[in-house]
Amino acid sequence: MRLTRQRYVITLIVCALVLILVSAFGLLMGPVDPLPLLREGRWERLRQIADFRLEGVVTASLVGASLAVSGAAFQALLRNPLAEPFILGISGGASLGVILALLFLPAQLVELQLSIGPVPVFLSSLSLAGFLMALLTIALVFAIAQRRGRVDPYRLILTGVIVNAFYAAAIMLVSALSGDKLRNEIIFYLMGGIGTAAGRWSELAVATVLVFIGIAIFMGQAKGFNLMAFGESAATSMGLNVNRHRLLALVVASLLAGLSVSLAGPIGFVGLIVPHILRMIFGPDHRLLIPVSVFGGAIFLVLAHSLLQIIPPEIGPLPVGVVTALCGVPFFILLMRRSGGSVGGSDR
Amino acid sequence: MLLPVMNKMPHNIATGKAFGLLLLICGLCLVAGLVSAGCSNDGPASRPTGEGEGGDASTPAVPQIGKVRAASVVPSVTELIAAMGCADQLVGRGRYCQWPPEILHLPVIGDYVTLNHERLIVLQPDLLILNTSDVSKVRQMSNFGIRVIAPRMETVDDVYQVIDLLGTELGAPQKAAALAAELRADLAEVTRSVRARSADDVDPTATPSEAPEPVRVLIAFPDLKGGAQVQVVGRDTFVNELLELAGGSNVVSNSGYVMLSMEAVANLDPQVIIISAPGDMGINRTDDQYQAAWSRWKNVPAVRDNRIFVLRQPYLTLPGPRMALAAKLLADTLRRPSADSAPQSQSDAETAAPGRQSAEAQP
Repeated sequence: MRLTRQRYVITLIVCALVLILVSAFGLLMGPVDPLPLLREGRWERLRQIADFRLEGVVTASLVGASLAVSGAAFQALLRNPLAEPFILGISGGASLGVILALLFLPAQLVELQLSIGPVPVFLSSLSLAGFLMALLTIALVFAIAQRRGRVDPYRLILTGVIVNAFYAAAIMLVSALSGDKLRNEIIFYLMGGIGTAAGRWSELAVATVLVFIGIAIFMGQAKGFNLMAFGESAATSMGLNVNRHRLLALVVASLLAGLSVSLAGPIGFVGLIVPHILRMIFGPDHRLLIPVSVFGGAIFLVLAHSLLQIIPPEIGPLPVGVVTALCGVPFFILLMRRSGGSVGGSDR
Repeated sequence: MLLPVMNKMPHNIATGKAFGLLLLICGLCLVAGLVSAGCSNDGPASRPTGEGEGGDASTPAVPQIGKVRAASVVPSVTELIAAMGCADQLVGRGRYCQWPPEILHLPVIGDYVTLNHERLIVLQPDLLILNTSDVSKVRQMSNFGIRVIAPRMETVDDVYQVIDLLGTELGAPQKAAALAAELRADLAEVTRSVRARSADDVDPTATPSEAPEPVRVLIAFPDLKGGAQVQVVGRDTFVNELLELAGGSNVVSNSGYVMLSMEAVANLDPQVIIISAPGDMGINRTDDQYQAAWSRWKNVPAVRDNRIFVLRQPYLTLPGPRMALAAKLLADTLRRPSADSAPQSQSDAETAAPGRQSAEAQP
């Protein structure tokens, strides 16, 4: 499949349309039936419910897009089909940050108010703590894995796995020592959830800006990702500064992953499965794969989130990660069987 | 592959820094863990359950011949035993049994998840009271010669049945009957005063057949992370029973303690929202922050009228001897015009259950 301008444009337009469609579905899905409200003309209530659902849809699309694009980048950079956004221990770090902030932050600091120019911006310091711990984790993992400024993918993965195990133990320690109810709270957080009670649009605005910057950087690097597929030495001989490219891309991918955890907790599977599925459908060219991952991740997670909204409460609150895995795995297996087994970023 | 890495560690400055950072994080986590242990519901009062208590455990306070020696991991049952005046028959308690203060010196024998077998063997209670979900441990414990009961404790009626059962098991039927009678009287008093007040409130011009509409109430539990779902008190629960006694009607029609979407709950239009945030939960949250979780639903009556009340009393959700107190608390809360108004006067509250709430300060 050659990437022509025509194919590129059509694909992206179709993706955008599907995302809009799925978002509309997400706005319609929910425990409250809007029709009676409409008939009674209760516009204010309808507006509030729409606002509430829109926040969930926007969060889901931001988180899904970040995770999928980050996963696509990790798979290309580490040349490992098992790579995913959380492979460097970012989920563990961010989760620990959020949990510690949850337990120990004094009341006055739970909500931060900054002002960007005249606009007041409210940030949850829980999300901020998660993001800062993600940053710290990235610094830690790279500092451990680097050797004279060079980052070897295998050492990096190994370090990430070990650091993640360490964080997992730390989280278990904290939750084992906490009381009953706090432990529940921690477990629910670790399942990942979308949306907040308080309506933090300013936080989502900040996150949106960051996600778009990340995506823009990846779009600029798309050719580099393609060259990396030929192997390090081949990429170097074709004029790519492999080290610089890899370092920048890894840091951006990690930041996007950290951002998603601080917004919605660690939601597994999106970052692993979505890029694979999209690679099978659209081919391995990252000039297309990167933007398609953005849309694909957003569509996938918004859909999963919306489907969750119609599950009756008797079944219980299902974490969105359950749905992503339950729906994603059969689809992935189907695609893998049909594509004849060529899976992953390394086998071409 | 690992060995050369280890060898190089001290020589490589960057790695050294990273190692230092790792150590720092290690230390932080440990400190955090320990502090969190301190902050959790094992308050300072329960701290000395270590060595000294272990010594006590092996030589319990001279049990009188014939008296059944009991241990309970269920907070409400422990509280009932103490309220019956049988605290002297208790030889061990659960980790979450924090009331009344007189039982805090007892050795901890476990919690809902694990039992400390060695301590139980040393203490040799005749009777062990577990949560209903622990029934799998019954056989195991009877191997040690300990009789195990796991009574259901989910409704007001259950409380009376358990009191009766404890009276038989502990050989103190009179004490049990006295406590049950006292509790019945206290609850009847709450019901009576609720009726009297609502009769006062009724518009004198209205026809006598028009009973006042009960207040539509939502009782929710807080979520520290402020998620889009909220755990609420549904029908067929202990708290719901108390709420109805207190003259409120639950807006939630689901059964049990359920998680619901905020939008579904808001659309039920409660007139009063009660947030139950017992002390061991909201260690670092103010009432304002819990109330803020509802601020986006401005036209929900409870939000509009500023009638979101945060109740920190741990006994609100605990079936046990303080249930009349909880019903009284709910009734008083429902009468508050807004969250800004002061709660009912202390002297008023004390008439419901004299003596049993004087030292309300929980750890």
